[in-house]
Amino acid sequence: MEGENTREAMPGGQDRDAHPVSARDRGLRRISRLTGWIAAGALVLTGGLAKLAADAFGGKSTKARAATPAPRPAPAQTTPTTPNDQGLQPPAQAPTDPGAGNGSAGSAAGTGAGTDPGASGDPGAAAGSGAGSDPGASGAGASSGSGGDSSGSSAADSGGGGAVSGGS
Amino acid sequence: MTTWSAHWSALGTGVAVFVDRHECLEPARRLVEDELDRIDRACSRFRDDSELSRLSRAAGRWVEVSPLCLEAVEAGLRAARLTGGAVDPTVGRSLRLLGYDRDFDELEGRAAPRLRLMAAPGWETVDVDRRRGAVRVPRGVELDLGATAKALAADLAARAVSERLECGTLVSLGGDLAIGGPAPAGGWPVRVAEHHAAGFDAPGQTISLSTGALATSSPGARRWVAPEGDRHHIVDPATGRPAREVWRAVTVAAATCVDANTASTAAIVMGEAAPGWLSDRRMPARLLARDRQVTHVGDWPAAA
Repeated sequence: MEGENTREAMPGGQDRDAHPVSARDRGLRRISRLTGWIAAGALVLTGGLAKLAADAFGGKSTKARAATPAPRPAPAQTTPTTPNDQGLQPPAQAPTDPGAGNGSAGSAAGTGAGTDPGASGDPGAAAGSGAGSDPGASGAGASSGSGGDSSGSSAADSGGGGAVSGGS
Repeated sequence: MTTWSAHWSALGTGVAVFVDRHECLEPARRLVEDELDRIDRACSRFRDDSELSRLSRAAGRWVEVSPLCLEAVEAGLRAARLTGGAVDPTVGRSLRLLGYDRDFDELEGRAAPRLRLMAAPGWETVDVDRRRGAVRVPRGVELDLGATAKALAADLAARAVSERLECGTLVSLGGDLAIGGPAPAGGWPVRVAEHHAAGFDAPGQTISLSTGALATSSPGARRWVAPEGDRHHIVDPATGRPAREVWRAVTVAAATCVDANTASTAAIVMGEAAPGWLSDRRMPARLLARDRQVTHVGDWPAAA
């Protein structure tokens, strides 16, 4: 009855849903969609498993090893080490002899030799607090070295001072 | 030019800060103390609550760390890479086996354990993920960042003082010196000695330092008595033994204290090869041999 028929009439009076070719096409479309979802899911799952494995069993980067000139290979790093790959940096100005004025360090390179006259004995026994003085006038200054502690008390000096560089 | 200084003890060593303006002294001292506190909490081998201890306990798991700890670990690994492994942050267990397992002050008077040696597992076993701010230390590997972390603290403290207070400064942490801001006319006078606590009149050489940093390494410092003889704190990573004492002290000038300390520590470990290695890298250096013969390398000034 016309107007009540919800199905599309096919030429020749055949019902479309009932046509085997249409049914096959719908089935194929469903299979295609399902295949797509399975592929996407597999990709996500593979990525997740790969990340888990990478976190749990980290390896070494053979590329980093090959690029490292040092005797031992570079550590595996997941990010580039740009500033860290610079070599040891000499000072912009070498230390100078305070007795030679305030000139630049000079350009003489190479090695020199001499003798340290002092025999200081037990280095750990020396007192450690430094005193400031006008470096330009007296030459007193900081000492570079490493060693044991000084008294443990703090002190503040005015009027100059220097540092000591030595072992510690 | 008049300068002012403050001196105290921290991290088991002597600390000094020098400034070129009096009003900077106290705030400078507080800034240095803050930096030392931060580095201690991040990098101390002797604190259970330090980030470094947490890394060693993680048994091969990735651990997210603070930016400072990450920087210190990377400085240690970089030192290893640039010295061919002569300075290696994975010597922590080697040091512990030698008996250096607590603050040095607490070592004195204790009986050292019998000699047990373990070569460092190797810095390449440590992984860093800078993007995540994470570090992974394999099970059984213990880090010791002692040398480079102290030098890093000197660099950071000098920079903090000069930038925040806008004054010239020299920071000394156990004889590792870093300059921040402008130096006084003629430079900061520095006495280079075998031991940092020796005082300005100790045997050695006085130099002027205007830029960068200076570090001295010496097997004469931090020694403890053991049945077979004295042991000291500078370990050869290849053997796990205290380094041979070819040099009494090696002092190196560099752009940063980390680089100066890396080079001076490596020189102690390298022994006879050190002058050539330093010269190749154009690092001004002073090496004091066992017989007190002094060798200068690069642009190091001749003694007056």
